[in-house]
Amino acid sequence: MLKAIQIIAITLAGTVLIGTFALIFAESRWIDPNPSSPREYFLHGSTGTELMPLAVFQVLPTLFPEQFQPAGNTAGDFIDQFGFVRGAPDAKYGLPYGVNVSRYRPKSGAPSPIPFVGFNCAVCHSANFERVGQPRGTVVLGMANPRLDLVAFGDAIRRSLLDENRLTVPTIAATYKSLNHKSLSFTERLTIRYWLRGARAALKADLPMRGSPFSGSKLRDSSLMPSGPGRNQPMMETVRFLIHETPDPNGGASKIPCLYQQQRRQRAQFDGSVGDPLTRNSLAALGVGASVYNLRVPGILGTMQQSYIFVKTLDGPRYADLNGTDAHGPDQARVQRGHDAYMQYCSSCHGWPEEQNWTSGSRQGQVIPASEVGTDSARVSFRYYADMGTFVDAFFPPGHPLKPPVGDIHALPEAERGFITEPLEAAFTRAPYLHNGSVPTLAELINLKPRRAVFYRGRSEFDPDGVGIVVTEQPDVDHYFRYDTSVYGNSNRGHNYPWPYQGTGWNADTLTDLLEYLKTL
Amino acid sequence: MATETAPNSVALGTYRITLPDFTLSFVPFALLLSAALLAPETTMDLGFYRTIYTIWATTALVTPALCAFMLPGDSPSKQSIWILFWTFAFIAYLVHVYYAIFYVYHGSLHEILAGQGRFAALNNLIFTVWWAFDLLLAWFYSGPARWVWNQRVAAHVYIGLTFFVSTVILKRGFINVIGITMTIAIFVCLAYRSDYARRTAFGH
Repeated sequence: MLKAIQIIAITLAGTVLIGTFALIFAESRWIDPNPSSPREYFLHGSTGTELMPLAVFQVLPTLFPEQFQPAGNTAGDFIDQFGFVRGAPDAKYGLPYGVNVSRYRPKSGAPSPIPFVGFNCAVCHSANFERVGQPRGTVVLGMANPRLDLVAFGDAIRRSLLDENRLTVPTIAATYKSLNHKSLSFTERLTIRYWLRGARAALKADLPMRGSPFSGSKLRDSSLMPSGPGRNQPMMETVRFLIHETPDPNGGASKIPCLYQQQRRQRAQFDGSVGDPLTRNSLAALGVGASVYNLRVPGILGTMQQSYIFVKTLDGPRYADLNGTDAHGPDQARVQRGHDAYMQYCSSCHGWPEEQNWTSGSRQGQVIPASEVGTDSARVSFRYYADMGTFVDAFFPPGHPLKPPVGDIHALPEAERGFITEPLEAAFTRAPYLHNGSVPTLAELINLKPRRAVFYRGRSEFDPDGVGIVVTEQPDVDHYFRYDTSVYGNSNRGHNYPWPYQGTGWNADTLTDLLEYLKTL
Repeated sequence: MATETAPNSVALGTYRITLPDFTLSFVPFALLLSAALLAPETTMDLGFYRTIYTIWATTALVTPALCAFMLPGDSPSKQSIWILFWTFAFIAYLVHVYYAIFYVYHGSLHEILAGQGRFAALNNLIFTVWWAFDLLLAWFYSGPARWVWNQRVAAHVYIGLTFFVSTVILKRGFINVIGITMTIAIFVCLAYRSDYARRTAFGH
């Protein structure tokens, strides 16, 4: 009898051990196959920013309508109100562009038995090009999403996760069941329970550095949420994850850039401070929640590399591709004259197109000091600007595949800091203009029209007259964000080329020609 | 080299492992290692927590081996318990090393040296190699060489002290509970051995 018990004990314990190793072997198969092409990586790959289990992401807007529909339930769902690009309803769980589904656990990149959602490159760098009266628009990959209010969305998520009464496994399970007419599995419940505990603890630990997240209608209050649509505060977030400190001054907000033809860019970031494009990609991912650990997981590292390959040769759209041949199409006579003006006043810094190529101007790819170009200098004068190279070098351990080469991140002397000159492919899709998005249209950028000191942003339909985005003088449900150019980091001054508005040499006719030409880039 | 038989030594390389001996060692080994590998499923970082929990399991498994080694007598059962726990603890330790190298330090010597420091890394290397060497001798060498016994005593002192320092002094948290339990158990065994030796000397 005793012998039998011993044999049974050994058999059971051995079975448990074998089962454990079988589970570990099976874990490696939880990860989905890698995307099949650079384009698929860009659209669906994981950048290591896994936020939460898919099931939780699906129920949050229902559980917290005041956070995810801050303009009320008649103003559309969270996709409308935070400016995501709506995906196909019958594919990828109906998630917006750039909200990817993976089987990676947050921060570690370890295999997960249940799907998680995260943000990849496409969330910021794909946009719905909308014309007034044509809300369906056209999705343009590589175009910066001028409508996406990702910082506010982040606060909505944080606020919801911190609500320990309303966000529990039972409430998640009940809401999931009512939405999907099926129950969460045991594995889903268990994983959500442990994820929620860890995520909440991490959020609480960050509160002293970040402060409490804003909530409800305050998510649309520009005095509290200074980024607004199409922008973020990249330097503040970068310093935070590098050294766990909120810098002051924080560098203000920068617009999300378009990513066409990255092979033509010698250096990354508006200030040209980063050389290696993969460093730029990894810093962006880290700012949205990736970790130095999961960025080396092959599937995630692959997204970093393959997404760059995709945007390296990605062409921007042509004006006619998105606008057809309407009354606002380029006037060919003016285009020719505008070309001459462009070559005279713009080409040395921005280069010019020649057939399929882009010819570099004499100053293209150079950092023009902020004192010379005259634009807002908050972006290049934040605390720790000069230390960023050291911080990044210390952040990535030796041997990390994304550790920047020595000297790759440079900090110019204070007097030389400024903004890098770049090609202007598909310039009409790059609105709002300047690095901080302070100028809504090209007509204002070239000073054909006066620049507006205060305007309201949100929905960003194409403005065919000014060539840029529609903004309003008064707030409405679609244009909620008060952009005040007197706020720190928001100035619209500078870049007075060819001439200051109605200054010496100012010529409305030449500027109108130039505007027509800019439509053709 | 002198090859006289070591006094009070276990009979090297000759183990009569019985079913109760194997059950007593294998069942806790299998369950502890399984728990150490499965418990991290409740976390978001499998590799990191598997590294931690497997060293907990190793410490728990090495405690009976160290105690058995220190207790007086050379009964076959004591020898079997010692070799089995010594072996299973080492297997658990190898799993710990695997996760530490490939998940915590990503297989990078740079990261190991940066994360542990040169002294600790070298100490860990000596620790691992010596333990493996002693196990090889224990299983495959059955001669009476005194140096084998001497190195085994030294290995147990060194490995035991390393466990004590890392689980009681250097680290903080639940590992201290396991480390202190191990330390108390070893002291009890040493005290018993001392008492046994005293009683034997006085002819009791």
